[in-house]
Amino acid sequence: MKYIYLKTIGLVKPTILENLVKSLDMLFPFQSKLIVDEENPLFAFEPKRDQYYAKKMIEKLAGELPLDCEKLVGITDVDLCTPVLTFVYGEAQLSGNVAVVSLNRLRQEFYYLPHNDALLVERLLKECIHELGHCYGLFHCNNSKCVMCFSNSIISIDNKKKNFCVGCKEFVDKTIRKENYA
Amino acid sequence: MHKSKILVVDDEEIMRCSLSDWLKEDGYDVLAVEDGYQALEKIKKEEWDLAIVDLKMPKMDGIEVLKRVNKSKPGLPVIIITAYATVDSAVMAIKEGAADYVVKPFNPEEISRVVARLVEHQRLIKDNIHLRKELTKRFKFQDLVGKSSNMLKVIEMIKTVAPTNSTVLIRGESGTGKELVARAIHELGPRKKFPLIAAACGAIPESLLEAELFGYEKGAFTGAVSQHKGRIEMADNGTLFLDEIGDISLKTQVDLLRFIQEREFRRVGGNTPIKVDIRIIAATNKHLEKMIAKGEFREDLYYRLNVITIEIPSLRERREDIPILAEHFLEKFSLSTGKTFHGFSEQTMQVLVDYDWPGNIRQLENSIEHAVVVANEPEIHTKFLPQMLVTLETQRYETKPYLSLEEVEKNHILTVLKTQNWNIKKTADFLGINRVTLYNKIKKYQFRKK
Repeated sequence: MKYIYLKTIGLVKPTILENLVKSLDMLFPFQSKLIVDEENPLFAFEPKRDQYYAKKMIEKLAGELPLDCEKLVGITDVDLCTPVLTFVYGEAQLSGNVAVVSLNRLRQEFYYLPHNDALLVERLLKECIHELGHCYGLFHCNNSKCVMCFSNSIISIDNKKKNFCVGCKEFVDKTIRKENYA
Repeated sequence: MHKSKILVVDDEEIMRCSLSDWLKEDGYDVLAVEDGYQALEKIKKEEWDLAIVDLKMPKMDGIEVLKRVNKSKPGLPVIIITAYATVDSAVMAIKEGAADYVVKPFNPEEISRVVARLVEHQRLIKDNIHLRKELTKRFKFQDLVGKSSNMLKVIEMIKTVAPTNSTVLIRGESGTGKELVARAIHELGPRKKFPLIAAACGAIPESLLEAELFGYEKGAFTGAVSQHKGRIEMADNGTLFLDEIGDISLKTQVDLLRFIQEREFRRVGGNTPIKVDIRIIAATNKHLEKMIAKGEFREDLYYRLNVITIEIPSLRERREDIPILAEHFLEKFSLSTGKTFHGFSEQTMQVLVDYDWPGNIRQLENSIEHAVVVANEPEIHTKFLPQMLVTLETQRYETKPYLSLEEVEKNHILTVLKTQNWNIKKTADFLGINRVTLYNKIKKYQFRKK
């Protein structure tokens, strides 16, 4: 039996992750498991930008995959970036096994707004599903309501739904069938 | 769906990978190279929709790459990217024709907007070129005119087969408009949004036909310096029109048969099977059944192609269409030359209708074009028609039952005089009369050498 693993990278509030696990279980035909690693990801820190490289986290996570792992999503509270982008909400290996998502810019506080845990979990769920979609080989979707639509602002994340559109869902189901039951 | 192709040029590996990964997630087909020389080589060999070029690179800087791209591929948009932005370099880049200048690292919102805008712009340019070509072709499609029962049957058949996916074999003499019929089937069918790719099998040398149809991989043979898509691959989702199918060799017939059966092929020198979804329309002026009997055409390929047959009548089999076709071509060439005509003289139209037109509609079209170019009067007279038609017309009048003996004599003497280049002795010998008699006839009929 395979699992979708959620692994913390540094400190992350446990209640948020519990809610996330429940929601993911309903969307994918795999159960989710949580791994807690509270060590600060200094290996990915880029002092010039005061941010953390998403790719370095992905590379580290890819080297630590459990044997029964279907996909693994790293969850971190630090601000993520890539060499070419000023920030990213998350990053994934396209048609790979690992993704990473940051809570940092999903928080209302980042935009000087009052704290809202429910909204944070919803945004985190959307980003996790989005990155898992990339792991299953999906590109960005032109449907603005589809979870695979590219988000370059918090508004665009809030605008989209936490589901795949019909086409993307079909693609993911087909890929899961091919990878696991072929 | 066609993926837009983006070329990334950056000397830093981490930048190349990061940018490529991000663009790939957006569904682009991305290739990253590390210097300007490699970039120019790739640009020369393949079609790209966008190039993203780093400004500072050791071997050749981004501005130099931009200048050279503008010379070799002026339509290709280039975004200059840099981590060391200065006003001078930005001005320089824009002056040299950069589509945009973006500072690294990029704001995700900004770069996605810039890339999407340029790719969309490039797509619109390509669409525009495609539509212009289609417009020209549509104009030609109007040439498929006729009211004869023979032609109405053809048009009815086109309407019946167009919505299906069946393979069609079009038969008819050279110049009858087989390609027009193929285009009409394509245009009226569900694949009209995709291209109709024609391959004139008879016009392509045998040694090149396989590569032309199936494409080839780089290094497949001497001179294959880059990967090349074949006509079959280009026609994906659309229609492949194989003209002059009777002219292909037995070896190519085998390859074609395999492709038609499996709808899958490999490029020359390649191992990867490529699947395509195309409709096939073939055409020939050859008698394929006779060729099969002689062992020159494969029977199995014949049955694969001959699912539905459309026979296009020759022009002499639908003479009643000649006036309408002639008027149509007159209008067409009047428009293109800017001349105005009232129409054809009665005698000219009679000549056109009576002529046998071995070259069919193509010959008629060329003859009308000739007349339009030569004519300096508002009505097209026989003197404006090509010499060959006029000579035959004169001969034809000799045999017309309603001409008097004197008229026949007059026409005949004039024809022989012309064919003998006004050599009196030769003409007299040919006619079996003496020179004095010939002079008298010339005087009587008031012939003048022009």
